[in-house]
Amino acid sequence: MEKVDSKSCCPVCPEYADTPYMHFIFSDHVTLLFDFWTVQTLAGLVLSFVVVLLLTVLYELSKVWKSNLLARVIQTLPVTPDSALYPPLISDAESNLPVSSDALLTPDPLCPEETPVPSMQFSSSTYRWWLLHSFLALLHTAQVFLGYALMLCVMTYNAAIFIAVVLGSALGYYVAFPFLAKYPKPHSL
Amino acid sequence: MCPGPRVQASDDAHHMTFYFGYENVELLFTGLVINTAGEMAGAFVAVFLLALLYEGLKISRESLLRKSQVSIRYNSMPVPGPNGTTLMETHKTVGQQMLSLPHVFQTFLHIIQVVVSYFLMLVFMTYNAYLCIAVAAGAGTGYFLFSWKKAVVVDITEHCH
Repeated sequence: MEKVDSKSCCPVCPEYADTPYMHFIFSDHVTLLFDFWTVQTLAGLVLSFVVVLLLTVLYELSKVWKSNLLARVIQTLPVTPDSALYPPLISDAESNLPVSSDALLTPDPLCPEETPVPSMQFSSSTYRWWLLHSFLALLHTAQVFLGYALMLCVMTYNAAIFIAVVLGSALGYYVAFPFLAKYPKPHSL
Repeated sequence: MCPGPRVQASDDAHHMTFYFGYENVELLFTGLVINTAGEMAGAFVAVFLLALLYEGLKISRESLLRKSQVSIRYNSMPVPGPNGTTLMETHKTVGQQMLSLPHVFQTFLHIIQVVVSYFLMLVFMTYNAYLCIAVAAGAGTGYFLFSWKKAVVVDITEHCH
């Protein structure tokens, strides 16, 4: 394992030091995602291991969080969509959106079921729906980015980083799954 | 494994970290090389729309599947007769499921979805920050535009149970 090292491969041309590997290696020389995230020591590798593990746990948690938020969106949805949903939706969004976006979402993010079911007044209901929907879209954007970033981390073929992703995914799933809201989900998020 | 020194340092540079740049960015195909800021803007829009299409495709496939499943279930309901023992007809509808038009259409859409998702992955793998942002922003916008429909559809099916 230690014999295959890019440093020993090409000492003349250091710009080839980060030649992409095509197989897994154990090495403490790795560059992850950004130029400044260049690891060259064992301590740095351990730190990167922890960071990647936490990012993967965060990814798994955000998936459950998104699923629970989607369940709440369904609860928040007005009962009669054709009369209540379409026309006031746009006006509510234009007027009320920048008022307070955090007030609804901050309390206990993983178990929205504990909060009481929102009152079904039309204006506040559509307002809440719009807020949750916007936040869900933002969360989805972050999730896509994080998912691809983790894919790129794995693609460095660094075995320690790969183990961090797998362990983080397992840990995140193990921790987050009990918080999944109990409602029938016909789709996978 | 250990090539000689390059003549041009930045010509065929294979980036391994995120970077902002719009010169000599190869996009999926050999002829498709971005060299100017305008071309990068066009590529940004194209990738954005591709990611948006992907989200829309994913969600509309779900709702289409749910609709066809509902119709199949609806077909398999026994005809309201005096005693209601007409369960033989349901087997016929289930057997036709493989060759049914919705299933063929779903398969066709699945092919497009797989191709588009791999394209998006490969675009992200260029490490070009503009294109990566386009992928994520397109996915988020697509989710914003299309997923409210999903919520409604889920709501309806939940009421049907």
